[in-house]
Amino acid sequence: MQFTHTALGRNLVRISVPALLYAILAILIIVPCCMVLYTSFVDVAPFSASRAPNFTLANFAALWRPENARALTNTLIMSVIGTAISMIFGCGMAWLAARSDIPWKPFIHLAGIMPIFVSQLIAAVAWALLASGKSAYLNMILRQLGIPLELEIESIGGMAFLLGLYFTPFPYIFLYSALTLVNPDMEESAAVHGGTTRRILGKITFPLVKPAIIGSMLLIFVFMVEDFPIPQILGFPAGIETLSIRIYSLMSTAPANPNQASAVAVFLTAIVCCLVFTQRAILKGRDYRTLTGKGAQARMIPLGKLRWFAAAFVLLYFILAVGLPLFALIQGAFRPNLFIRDLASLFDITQMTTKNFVNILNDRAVYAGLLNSLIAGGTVAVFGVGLYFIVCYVVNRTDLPGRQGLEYIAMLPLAVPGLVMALGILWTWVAVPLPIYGTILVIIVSFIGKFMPAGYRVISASMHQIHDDLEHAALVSGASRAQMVRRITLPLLRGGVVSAMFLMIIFGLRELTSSLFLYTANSRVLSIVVFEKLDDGSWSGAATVSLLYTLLLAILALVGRKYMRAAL
Amino acid sequence: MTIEIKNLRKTYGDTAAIAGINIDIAEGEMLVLLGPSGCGKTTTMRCIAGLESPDTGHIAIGGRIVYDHAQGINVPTNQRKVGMVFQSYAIWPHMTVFQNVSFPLEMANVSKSEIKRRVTDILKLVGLSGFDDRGASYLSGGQMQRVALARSLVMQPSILLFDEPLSNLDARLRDHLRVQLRELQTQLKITSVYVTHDQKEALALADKIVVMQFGHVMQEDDPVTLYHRPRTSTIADFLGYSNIFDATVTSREGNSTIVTLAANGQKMRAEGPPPEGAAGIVACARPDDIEIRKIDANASTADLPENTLVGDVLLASFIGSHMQYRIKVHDNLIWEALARDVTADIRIGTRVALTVVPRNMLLLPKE
Repeated sequence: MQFTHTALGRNLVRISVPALLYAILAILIIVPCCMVLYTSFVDVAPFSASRAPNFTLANFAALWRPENARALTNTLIMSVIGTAISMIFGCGMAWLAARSDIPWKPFIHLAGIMPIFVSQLIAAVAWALLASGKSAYLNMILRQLGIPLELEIESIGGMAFLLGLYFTPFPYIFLYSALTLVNPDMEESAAVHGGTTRRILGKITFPLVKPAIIGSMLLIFVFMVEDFPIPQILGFPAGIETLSIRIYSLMSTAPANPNQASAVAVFLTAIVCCLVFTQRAILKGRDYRTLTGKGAQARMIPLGKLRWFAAAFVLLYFILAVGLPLFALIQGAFRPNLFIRDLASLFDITQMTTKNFVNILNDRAVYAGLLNSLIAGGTVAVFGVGLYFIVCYVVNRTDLPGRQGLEYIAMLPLAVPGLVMALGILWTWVAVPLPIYGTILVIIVSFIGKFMPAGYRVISASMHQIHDDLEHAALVSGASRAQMVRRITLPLLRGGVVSAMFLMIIFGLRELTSSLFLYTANSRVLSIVVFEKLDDGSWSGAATVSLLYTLLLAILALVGRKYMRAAL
Repeated sequence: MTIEIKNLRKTYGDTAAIAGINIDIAEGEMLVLLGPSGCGKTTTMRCIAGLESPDTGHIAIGGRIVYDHAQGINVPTNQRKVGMVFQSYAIWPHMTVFQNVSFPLEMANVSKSEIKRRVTDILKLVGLSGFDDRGASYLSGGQMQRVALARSLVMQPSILLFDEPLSNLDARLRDHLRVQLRELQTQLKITSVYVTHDQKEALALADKIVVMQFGHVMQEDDPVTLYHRPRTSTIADFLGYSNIFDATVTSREGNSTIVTLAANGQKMRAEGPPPEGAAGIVACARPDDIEIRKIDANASTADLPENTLVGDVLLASFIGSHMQYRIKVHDNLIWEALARDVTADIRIGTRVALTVVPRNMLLLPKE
């Protein structure tokens, strides 16, 4: 009798742990998605309580309006061009860094990865300063040089160009790791059997890394389709709408139309889901990267005279993605106003001022925003990463019932655009009778859900590198599960956990989309401060905050680089 | 401590990793679980350690029930007090040698001074004195293996489990450590279970060998009996009987049996009665039990002694202690022989006579 009792007790424990995790993930991820879906099928805002909701399909019927069709076309054109730009830069640099004798290799690698840490919001601000309107720096320089060309970044082509620049690190990282992990024996055996360099590239190397190329291509296409900050800063003022901007417009212009917005959100999510599943299907069982050798040095292909041309190509990318924007921010921050007369005055110290800095450093809103951002990032780093670790541990290292489902839910935010999640979270927490909505807490909650796929993957990857014998040896040695996790698992996973924490802080500091839907006067984060400065037309202020903001991100990235290398 | 396994069963999906096995291990005995990969030997060991939960059955260590399905008992691994040496060594890379070895004692709340003393003693025993502060990731494979051994011995475990502990080492080191392991185990008299797929290792280490296949126990014997009397052709094949040929029983003569080889119709005499075999029988001989000698290519085969086959050498390969030969007796009858005399003038194409004495001619049921 006693034994059946303990067996029952053990079963209760076995069920309660996954049940609790399911409940947490449901609140963070599934309920918000359901809220959006629900709202798209009714005719009043959720929990508005003005009257009883009626079921309707009118929101979806309204999808066929011309402005939505235009938004869809804009989204697709922008994403296709953007993807092409990213793939050219990303794949080109990855191959050069991994397989050629290009000079300054460490710099090439840095140029390929670094833009991932650049905030899109800041990049958009900087490029608007560089190339929007007559007084923009690049346009002024072109005019001075007598070139009859005026750049306009506030256009579909401009947005595509920026998306292309800042998503380049994804194909770069995918292809670079694929190329370095392909066993050089495979290429060498092709050479032994008579293959020329060109034919080995085509017949052996390319097919081996094709999954990485296609996988990253679809991935960044998805990111661009659902992107919000760049179209918001550059497209919205010019009246160019993408699907994500449509959702924002429907929510932000009076009278707000949450039901229509939800229908567009559901439509956008459907597109993204299709793409994500296609990507999964293509990559399934085709990831050859595991066929790795002993880390042997791959053959480097000599570029000959093209070496310096190739280096210039990478330098061009670096200047476009990092150099010029930084230059623009500095110009914007250190000048009394945006107008610059000629080329010479760009470098005239006497025309510069620290007035903007004085203003910003006396601006309470900036401090409040910085504090909120740090609180949000820090909380996600501690509690979010803690949650990701527990979920990851349950999925990978236990035999608890239902553990596989947890992984699917944790990955779900990949297939749901950020602003759709934000909408859902907005409506979910409005209804919850806890003092969460309208505070920084709701922003933190949205971050924990949104960053889950990234955080989960970093921890899961490092967990996979630890043989479970190492844990079993502790159990055999008499350690309880808790002692084992504390003494063995966590110390061994330290690199993964720390790198996940750094990523979360950086992601948290950069985030704009969810914050924009969820912030109130008391819970502005740093990105919102920049956004509001733009809204007020204070470009100098925006540039100044952006410059400080970039400095903060750069310091974090630099400090965390050692740990994050493993994750990227 | 004794180990008692009754009716143990474990399935993964549709396949039975262990299909209801019974094994008894006596006090101080070294039992080797031998079999090809996927035969269930590792799963059996992990069930003893508690790292795997069986579906049904009963396991007792030293009379203490650690698992019993019917009674709902499943003692957690950390309370079973077993020592285990893993195939991957499982040395914690973030700890020093001393920290690795002292871990089980810390878990048992042993006092600091006692820990120091016992760890020092055990490191001396495995020949790692002075390695205390060495980071575990700076050790060679053989050293890691010793640390793993020390770690499992230091807690004075009730039993010791070895999961293919030597398979990741190079051949010379493997031979060396195997001898040491056997010495240590006989000296300490700890009941041990050792899992391997290497028959040589099994024979050298075991007091008793359990041969497993498809989750079943195929044969359970001491090494000498197993080596000379494998029960089936599969086991014989696994133990290095490289000459296994289809045969039919022709007649009985006193205590011996005359069989006819299916390939060329030659009659062979084997000691003892023929086995019961539903699918027929096979005649088997180990290559080192075959006497090989050069004969004249035109000599008459009539006056050759009993159990002698004539053939041409296809391959002669020098392997140090022996010469290895492959001999074509008939198109479908290639024999393998190992000769101690490596200087005999036998080359490719040489006509040879192969003789197997009836005692070494083994008849087994075909599988």
